[in-house]
Amino acid sequence: MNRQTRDEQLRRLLREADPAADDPGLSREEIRHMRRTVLSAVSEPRRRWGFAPLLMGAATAILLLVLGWTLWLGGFSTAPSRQPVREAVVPPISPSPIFTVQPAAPTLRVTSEKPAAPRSATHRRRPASRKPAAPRTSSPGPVAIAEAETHQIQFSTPGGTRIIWVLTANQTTD
Amino acid sequence: MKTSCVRPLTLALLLLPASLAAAPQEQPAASPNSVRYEIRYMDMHAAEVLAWDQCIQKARCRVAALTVNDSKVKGFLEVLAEPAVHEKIARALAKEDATPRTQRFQLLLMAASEKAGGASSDVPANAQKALADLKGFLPFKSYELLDTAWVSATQDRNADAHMVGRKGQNFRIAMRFRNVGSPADHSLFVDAFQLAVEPYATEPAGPDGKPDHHPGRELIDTTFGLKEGETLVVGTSKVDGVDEALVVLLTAVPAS
Repeated sequence: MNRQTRDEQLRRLLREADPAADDPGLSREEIRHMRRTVLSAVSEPRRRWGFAPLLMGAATAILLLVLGWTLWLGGFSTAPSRQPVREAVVPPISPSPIFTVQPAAPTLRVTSEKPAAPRSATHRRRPASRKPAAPRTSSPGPVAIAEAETHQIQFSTPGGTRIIWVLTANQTTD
Repeated sequence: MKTSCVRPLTLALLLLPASLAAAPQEQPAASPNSVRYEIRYMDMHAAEVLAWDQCIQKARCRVAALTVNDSKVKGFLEVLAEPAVHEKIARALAKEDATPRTQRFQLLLMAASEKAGGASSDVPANAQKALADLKGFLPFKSYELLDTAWVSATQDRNADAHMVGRKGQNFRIAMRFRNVGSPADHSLFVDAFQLAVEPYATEPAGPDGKPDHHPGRELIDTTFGLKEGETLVVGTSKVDGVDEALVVLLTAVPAS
């Protein structure tokens, strides 16, 4: 049995075992309908944005035309410029930072996250020979400021009570 | 004539991309806008946190604080947020920043001595613990209560108290505080605390019969932070050559 005979036998066996051998298949109308369905499903987005490059090109051309025309006419020099609607400007008040005494530039802090905790002011200590900047209320008599060098010590007791102790080096006896 | 041609073309140019983009997308939520809020009494950081807490979508919010040195205004908050968030911030600030904070302080002026003496039984109960801590920590052997005072102070305003010491000495305590805590946290910062002895005269000691005049002077000038209900000890040693120390127990009395 040569090879050609074997192939013909195999082909015949497959045709005999084909369960759809007697099926007439799709009609011409059904084939057209299926083709329409497939093609429309694929080409829909292309159809939606198909005209976009054309429109963008037209828009660019019009933009260039308008810009050229406006420049040629000197329109930029005659048109009134608009002021910005709103901007964060420093108010006309002499500003200063929160925890300092010396006047300084305004501190504008922008937070895009949760604002950070402020600088701890609990243990802030003044320099020893600093001039007092505390309130001066009405006093019955003149109060002379002692020209003595003072030091402050801040500490906490084991029980948690905080103590501020002022040491004066050159205390005068009246 | 020329401008009448430019305007329609510009309008067409502006409308063209808008008509292209409008069809497939939904209209977004209200766009954020920037509003400046005036802060009068609150601590700026606390106001900043309060505004930030009102933002639901943190990525769409921006809060900037600007501190100014003015007696009427503490600063400004520049907030970029959606209109609904702005409404919440305005409501919260109207509630929290309406009135200045008032705080009552209890002041106890005490003389601490290295000589043994009787225990001071007049110290109020709220300061007993601080006094007990002081006794265990400082080398003084006795503490005597000289005078007490209550001060009701308003934030950022000066307040003072006059107290009586030994030998006809009068002391003046001047203080001022600012509100640094959030509405939940009642912390404050005493940015001026001064204890000064006022001018006084003592009985004549010499044969000429003239009284000795003593000029007033400042003994303590300091600043510190304080929490509501906390008792802080401020003291100084060697007052006018006397072997005594002057101690002030300051308590920020909680609002009942």
